[in-house]
Amino acid sequence: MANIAEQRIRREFKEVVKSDEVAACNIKVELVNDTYTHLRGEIMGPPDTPYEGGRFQLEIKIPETYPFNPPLVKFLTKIWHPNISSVTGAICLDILKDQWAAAMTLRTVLLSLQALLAAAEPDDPQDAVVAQQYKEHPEIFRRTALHWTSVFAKGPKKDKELEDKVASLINMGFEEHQARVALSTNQWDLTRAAEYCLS
Amino acid sequence: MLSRVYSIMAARRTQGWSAGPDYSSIAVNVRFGSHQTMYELDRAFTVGELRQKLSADHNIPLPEVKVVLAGSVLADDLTIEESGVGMQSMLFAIRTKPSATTQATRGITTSVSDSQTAPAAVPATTSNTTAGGSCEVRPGRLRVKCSVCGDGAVLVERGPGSWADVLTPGRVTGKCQSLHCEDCKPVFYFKCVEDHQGSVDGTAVALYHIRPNRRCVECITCADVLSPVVVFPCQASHVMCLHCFMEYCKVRLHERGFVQREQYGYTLPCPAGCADSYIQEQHHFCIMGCTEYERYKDFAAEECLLAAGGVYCPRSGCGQPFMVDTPGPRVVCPQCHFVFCRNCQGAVHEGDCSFQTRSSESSQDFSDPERAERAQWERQTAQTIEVTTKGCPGCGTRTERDGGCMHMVCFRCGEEWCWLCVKAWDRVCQSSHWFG
Repeated sequence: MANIAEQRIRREFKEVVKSDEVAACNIKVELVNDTYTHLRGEIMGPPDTPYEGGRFQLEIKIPETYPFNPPLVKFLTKIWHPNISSVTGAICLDILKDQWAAAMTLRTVLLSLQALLAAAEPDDPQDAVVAQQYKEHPEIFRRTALHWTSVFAKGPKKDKELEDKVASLINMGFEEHQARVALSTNQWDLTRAAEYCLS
Repeated sequence: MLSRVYSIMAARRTQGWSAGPDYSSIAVNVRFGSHQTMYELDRAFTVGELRQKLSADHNIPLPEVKVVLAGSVLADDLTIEESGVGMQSMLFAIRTKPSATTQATRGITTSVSDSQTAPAAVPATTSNTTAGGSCEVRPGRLRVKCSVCGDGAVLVERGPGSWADVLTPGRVTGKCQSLHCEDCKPVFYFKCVEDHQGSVDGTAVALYHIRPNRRCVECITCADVLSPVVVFPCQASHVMCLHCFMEYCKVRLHERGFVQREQYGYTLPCPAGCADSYIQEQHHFCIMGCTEYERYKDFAAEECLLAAGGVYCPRSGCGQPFMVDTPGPRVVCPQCHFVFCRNCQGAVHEGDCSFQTRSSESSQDFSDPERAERAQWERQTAQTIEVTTKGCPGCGTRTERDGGCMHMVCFRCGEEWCWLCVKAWDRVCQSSHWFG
């Protein structure tokens, strides 16, 4: 069994490495161990989205039953997106679940994830808090996603106002990530975020 | 077509397919009317020489003796080896009227150029071998018999050109050479290349999804170009090598991921997720080997029984399958007389199932130490199941969650449910219960 999985991943690995997308630095994949069961992927945030310019690392685990079952993929880089858990990085994408087909490859998975960053599906959310913000406060969502991209994914655009708010909460004695999550969850309202941290 | 089947066999020999011991002579049965004689023939012996032998043995003028195999008269210059007979094969000698002209051939040939339609392999199925027979895929030999008398002395008007010709009786016409047969038609069937001692009628099931890979299509799974391959009946005709197909079947069987389809039985679709791509002949799953194929048959029977409204006795050590014709949840096992609740599979009870503790044996006889020990085991098993699993809200199947999110999909009934609420997955679960 493992032979089929390994043989497939070897081929797919080559396919990604040689692809035009790698040449354009849009996607990347590298080995974590020698057995091709654990890989590290990277996708570039697509243009005209709050993720633009960010580099998002992915953990890719290949099950023994690959390619009959999908690879287990999650975001290692923290991201603010309705279909990706801001806590665990778990992804809600049909092709990584019941819509997986043996004809799909690492390359198509990475490209699909990139497409997911460009077109969220808030009605099928993985992160309810983010999905609600996406629908009810689209502008705050955009700024939050942009902020997370700059902080965690080396995104180019910094948002001074939001960074100052995080700093204020840190000054009040809260841990940085806790402060950022509290502010993001509470539409960047300092008072409510502080209460959230204390509750 | 016959020659094609054989070319596949020759190709397989180099790929490690067992072709049996290489004897210099072949034992062949020749039937002439009601007489059957076994000849030990050298592989280089020609059909013409065999005809002379038959002519002398049966005292018939040489021009009137013809040798028939698989619906065709064999040409004189053909050697026994080339003709495609194997060990213990049956050849048919017929006597033609002096005026009749019968065209001899070099075996059945096909006019269809589409090589994908040529049959490639047949399994040695459990139905036609001795007990404990193999479940492997083996090359097959195409044969013809009469639909009425079952005799092989049949001449067909043309060789089959497609699987439809082979599988649908009557598409290829012909005539039985027996004197008493009227209104008969030729029926194609397959024999395994291997001799199966004790075989009932010598036939094997044709695995028509397995075909030679003449177009050199890559396996959808491993991307190797191998032959023969499984060709799925989807529009794209996706191809899978036999090794990957075997693994695909085993993985799905292990996950209980086969599906019950009315027209095809317990089967699998193309792994690319194509529409209308189910394997249509269940013997293809023999490729998994005997143990797994037996398990496949058990699962298939279970699915079939449950789909038809039947139940299995939940008492440990019984497991009797039976149909229930009484209304209400109270069910009595006809085998061990255990009375149980159809909904929760526990011992029969009053009121709601959710308040019952699961037990399959209510009475315990502690005077018998063996039974007491077993009862203890049973109780602990039941407790472990109770603690580590939850019942699917759709069908009650005890389900263990070994990771991932709270969104459960039941393998048995397909119900999508929430691990936290233990009810159907809804909008609230979708937005709030993914990770508890």
